[in-house]
Amino acid sequence: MYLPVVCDNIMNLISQLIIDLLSSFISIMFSTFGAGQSGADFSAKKEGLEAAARLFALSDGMAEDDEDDPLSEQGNKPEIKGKVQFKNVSFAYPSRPDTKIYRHFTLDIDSRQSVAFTGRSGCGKSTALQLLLRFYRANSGSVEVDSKDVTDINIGWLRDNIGYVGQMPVLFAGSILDNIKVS
Amino acid sequence: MTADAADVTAKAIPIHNSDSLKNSDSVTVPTANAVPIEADLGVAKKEEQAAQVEDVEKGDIEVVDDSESIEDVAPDITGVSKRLQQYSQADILYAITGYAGSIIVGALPSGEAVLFGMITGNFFTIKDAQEMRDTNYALSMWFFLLAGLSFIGNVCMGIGLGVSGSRLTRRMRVLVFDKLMRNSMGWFDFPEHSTGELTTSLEEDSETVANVTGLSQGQRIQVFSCLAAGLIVALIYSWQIGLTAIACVPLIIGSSIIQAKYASREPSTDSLIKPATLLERSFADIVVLQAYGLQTDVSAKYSATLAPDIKYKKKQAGYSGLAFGLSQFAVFGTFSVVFYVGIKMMLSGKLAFTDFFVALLS
Repeated sequence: MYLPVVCDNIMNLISQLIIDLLSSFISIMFSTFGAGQSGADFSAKKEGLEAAARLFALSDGMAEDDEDDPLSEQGNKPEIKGKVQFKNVSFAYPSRPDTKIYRHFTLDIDSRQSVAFTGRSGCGKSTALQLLLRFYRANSGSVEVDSKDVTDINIGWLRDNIGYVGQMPVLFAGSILDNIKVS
Repeated sequence: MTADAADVTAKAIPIHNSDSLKNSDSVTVPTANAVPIEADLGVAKKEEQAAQVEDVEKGDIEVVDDSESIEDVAPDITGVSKRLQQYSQADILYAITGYAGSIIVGALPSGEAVLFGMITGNFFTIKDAQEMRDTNYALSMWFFLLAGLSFIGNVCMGIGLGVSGSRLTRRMRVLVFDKLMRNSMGWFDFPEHSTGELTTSLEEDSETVANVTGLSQGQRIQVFSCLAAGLIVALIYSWQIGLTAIACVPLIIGSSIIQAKYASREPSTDSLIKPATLLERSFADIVVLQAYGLQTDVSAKYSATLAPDIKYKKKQAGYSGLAFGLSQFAVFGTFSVVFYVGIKMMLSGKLAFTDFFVALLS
């Protein structure tokens, strides 16, 4: 009479134990499989950080107050009449320091004077313009506009006062008028 | 290509003198002692490329050295996290939504496990048909809830992290592009700052940055949420099994650490020209390339520049294969340990029951 009840209870207890073990086991199984299925890549974060580090290194290359920054506020903004002088300029491109383009180069162009440079390819025609526009700095000597060293003139102001048509003219999208307005 | 310096004279010829100038001869005609740097494009390319072709034919050009030149150089990433955090601050709400979604999605398998355990258990415990029907009806409702949570979690994760990741990428791109445009001309002359290199960097690296906050991060959070929820449920139902599983966690985490540790080291080479630069030059000077029929040679050279990348990828594949194998080993190893302990417990439970029964009968 009494025994079956006890037995039943014990059976239930054991069933419960089995169910609990089962639940526990399934939970571990499912969660580990779930973790595997997430497609998580634990190297991805490091890759992302390294990519960011490379980008920061690239963008941090220029100092915040660099006066060669086209947006720099440094330098004077004198009225420009257009007298151009190269005084004893020596120059080599930074990427090829051993190849001298100019050795003690001197040039005088008066205001309102039109001048054409001719010469063999590579003799430094474009370089003169690039130094005038301050794309590069002379290694020694000075490039002057109205007897003021271009390096003392605000770079944006200097370039605003020079019309430049490159060797490969670029037209931006829009009308011709839009393109003229840009420059 | 190079001419004698004295040979070359730049002449400034006045083509038009304004009225202020009385005598056109007054213009100073300077003499430039100049050495050409850029020879005529066609000739230069011809000579250079002809030389390359020759070298390739002779086997002289080994664009990539063997393993010696491949060094693992990982950029310094200290402080990078903090800066990225600043940049992604604006999208913090999206990120939080996404991470919440990841946690929900991660916890789902454990919820499923509980329901699954109940279903199985009911066959042992419930004898009455009506009771079985009612219980299973309730269970199906729980499954419905699980489905709903899965939907919400995945939507939150997808939208939140997709948006925050892509916005970070865009912000990085614009930030870097803005800065790059302000560099001096000389900076752009260096081969490592060639158009090809810079475009590739802006494209690829910016995209990869999203791994830090985007979906990729969500997946990592999902893994932790998944394992944590699984262990908690396991502990609730059987602390012995739970503890056994916790003991196995280092195995699973360890394999992930190995994967993370060896991944992502960029190869650096002594190679003069990088794939991106080569592509850029080829397309920019496609006229020259076609005029001289250099397609095959340039193609061979391109293939050679890709060699270090392939070597690097091969190494990576080895590491990730190892890591994946280890993680799978860890998972199934955990199963085996947990199952072993479970069976032991079951047997000892049965044994106790038999002992008890025998004792009672006697």
